[in-house]
Amino acid sequence: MRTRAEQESAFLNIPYDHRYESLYLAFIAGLCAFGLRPRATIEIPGARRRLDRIIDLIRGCRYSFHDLSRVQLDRNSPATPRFNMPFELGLAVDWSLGAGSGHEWFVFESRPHRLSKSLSDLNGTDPYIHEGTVSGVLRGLMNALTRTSHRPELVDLTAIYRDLQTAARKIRTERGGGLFEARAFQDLAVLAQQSAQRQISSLR
Amino acid sequence: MRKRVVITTPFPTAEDLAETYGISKTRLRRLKAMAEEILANRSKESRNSPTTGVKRKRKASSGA
Repeated sequence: MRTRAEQESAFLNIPYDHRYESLYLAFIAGLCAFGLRPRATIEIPGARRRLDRIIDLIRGCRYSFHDLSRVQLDRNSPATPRFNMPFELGLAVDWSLGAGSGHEWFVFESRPHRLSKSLSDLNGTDPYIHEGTVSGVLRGLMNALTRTSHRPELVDLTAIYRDLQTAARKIRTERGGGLFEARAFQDLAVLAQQSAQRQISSLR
Repeated sequence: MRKRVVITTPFPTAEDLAETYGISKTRLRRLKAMAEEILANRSKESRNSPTTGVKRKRKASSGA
């Protein structure tokens, strides 16, 4: 039996890359607008084996969101593809097949048909196409999720995203460092929740 | 396209999230204050926006 926190938790499998920052904020904003608690591997410090920590995190989440749009060769030598994201998707798929896990996973991509080339094992799975844009991510989440109560509209997700942009600037100014750190990630999630609480009319 | 997944759980509070992340009460207070400031500025901006019904005075043209 899952705890309430686990039922509301969503594992975010995305690249931690400066060029991805706006989509990172869009995912946090969108998930919080739907009343979910975003979780990500950047949160997990400590000495335990990284793989064990990732598995624990995925299994502690009812949902997972996997953006495979940056599965590509990196610029640094030696040029290698980034396998972490498809690997973590595989872990989530495996977990979802287990009896009673109830895990739901969602795949996002930037372009149609790219997934069938990069990961043909998922043929028959429709990814949510975001076209590398914030509005694409928010629309994808609107198509993937709904709520029985306090249902957000696209305009709410957009407003929460804008608040999060402002919050991200403040966090960077006040604290320095990047947004792809445990503390910044958690702060952004709390700020997105606060914005959602104000933005979604039935929650006011 | 698959059907949308329906979320039936209650909407979590800031305190719920703080508990999940292990955020201290002091840090949560600071975050709430930051959120208040951002939201207050947003309301102020939207009140002053020409699309929300508050008309700005047009500058008188300098005339020639």
